[in-house]
Amino acid sequence: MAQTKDLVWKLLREGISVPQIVGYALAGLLGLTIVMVAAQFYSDMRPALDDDGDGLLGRDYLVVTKSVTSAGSLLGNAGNFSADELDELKSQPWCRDVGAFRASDFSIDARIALGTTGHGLRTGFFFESVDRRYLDIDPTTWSFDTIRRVVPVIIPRDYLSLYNFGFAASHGLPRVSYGQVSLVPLQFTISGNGSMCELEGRIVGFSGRLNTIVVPEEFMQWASARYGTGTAESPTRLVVEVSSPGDTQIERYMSDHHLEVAGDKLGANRAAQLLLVVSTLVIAIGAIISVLAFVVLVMSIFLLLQRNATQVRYLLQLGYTPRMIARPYRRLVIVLSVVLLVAAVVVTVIVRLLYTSMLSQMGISAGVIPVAAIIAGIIVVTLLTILNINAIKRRIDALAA
Amino acid sequence: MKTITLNNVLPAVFADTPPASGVWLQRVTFEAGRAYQVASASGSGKSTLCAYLYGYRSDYTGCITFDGTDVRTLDIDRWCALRARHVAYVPQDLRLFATLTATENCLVKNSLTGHKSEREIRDMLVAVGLEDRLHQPAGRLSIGQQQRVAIVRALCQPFDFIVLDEPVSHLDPDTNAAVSALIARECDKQGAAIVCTSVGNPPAIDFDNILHL
Repeated sequence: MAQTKDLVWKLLREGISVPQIVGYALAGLLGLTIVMVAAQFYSDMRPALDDDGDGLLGRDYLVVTKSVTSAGSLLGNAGNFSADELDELKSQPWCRDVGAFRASDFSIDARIALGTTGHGLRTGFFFESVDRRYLDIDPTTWSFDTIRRVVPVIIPRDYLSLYNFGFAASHGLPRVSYGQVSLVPLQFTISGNGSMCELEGRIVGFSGRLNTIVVPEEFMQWASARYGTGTAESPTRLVVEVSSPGDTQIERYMSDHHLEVAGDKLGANRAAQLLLVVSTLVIAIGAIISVLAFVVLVMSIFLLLQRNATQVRYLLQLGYTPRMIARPYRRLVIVLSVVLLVAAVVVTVIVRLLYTSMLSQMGISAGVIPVAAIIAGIIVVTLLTILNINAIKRRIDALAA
Repeated sequence: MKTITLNNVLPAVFADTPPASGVWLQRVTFEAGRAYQVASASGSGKSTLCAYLYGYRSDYTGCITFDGTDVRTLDIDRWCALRARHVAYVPQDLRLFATLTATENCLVKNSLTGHKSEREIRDMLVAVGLEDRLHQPAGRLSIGQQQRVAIVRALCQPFDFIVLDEPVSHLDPDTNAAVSALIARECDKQGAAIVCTSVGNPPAIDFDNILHL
């Protein structure tokens, strides 16, 4: 039976053009690889430029403080925002919402043990709290209970970079990843009002948006009530939700009111948009090449069917159904598609290896499996395979009519 | 399938000048188990009739039914099933695959039906005098040899009707006799009808009816 099935394939493959198939495979590989690498690159780079994870095209957040001036420092101006200033900020057309940071008004001492080398860090510390909706990450534990007394802490990403590229490098210590840092135990000693307590701390996330050390509001209330001086009434830092951080009105307002925006938020957003545009353009080019390759394959198979039209008609007259005749061509397309996808994944992995080393130096971690590329590749290949099989079916049906 | 009926059928090509015919514009029924010869001169529509009965042309007026079902209502899959199980056909132009050998041409049909063993196929080819042509590409066989391959191929399936379009036109009387005996034996075995066209050189079969096209 197998031998006779081969006979049908022997008939249907007559006139197959190997150069055309190879041409398709190469063009398809090129197009698919471009789509996959671009999708993967975008996926890998986006977290670096879009710290908030929600700010590319929609909302964005700015952390705002008052400019520190020499005169202000000498006069003891703490740079607090008054209620009027808050109202004025809220009334701006580009301002959607304003959240206030609450600074700790008690003394904090932090200790971090680093490995088994005996090295450790001990430093005076500070906390701020802000409404949870202004966090750019969603930590699994973001609460404080007075029984367990573990304080979840979010620190800026930059702090880890400072450690990795500054402290660790100069002290011969190993660099640590985000995952490792969250395992480092912290010890806090909180004191004030003549009493003190020891608390365990845990870093639960890294923020690109909030350039401060953030703890849950409920902890801040609990600690302030016991150890606080009651002086931290008006906020010194605000988180402002804006419709478009690139808006020049914002820059003008900030300048006129002697306010500072933390980090290069506006520039980062522009870079993120540029990345999106460039990635989209590259993906589009890859998609066009893939479509052209697909057209080459469809035309090759159409040409093959045209050459073999007599054989196809004879087979139909012997009782072979269009589905049976389409089957070997369908198999050819599927095998080619799978080979193409696997080859493109391999090439993508290699290309990605070349750029991930650079990304890791920038503090961006990328997983081992190029998930975005594989998803993009599967979508493109599945789509083209379905279109191809459909085209073959319609062609054979036309010959059968 | 028991009957094929032609009711008032006229090929489009004869629409302007309908010929006097024992088939066209008549009611004709072919019944399983009987042998029909459709005799005529060239150009009177023998191959056209075969094409209608085998379902790859439908340029006619009137109605053709298989057991009462109008064949115009059959889709391609149904036709393919009929061609594999109920209606065998030897076209005048034979339609062999030139690059396949005589045996392979028969195997292509048999792989669809599983009707004969390779041994039986070989025996049939030998019975019609092709023992030394079994593995020769069909394209390199003479027309007479190709006719015999096409006949054996048509017998590699179950059928209720076998439609033969001038099947022995290139055979000598002895080969005609061998081929005809093979066809008659298979038809008897299956209780099938023969519908055979000819222009004066029919198979050596005892026909029950002779229709003049």
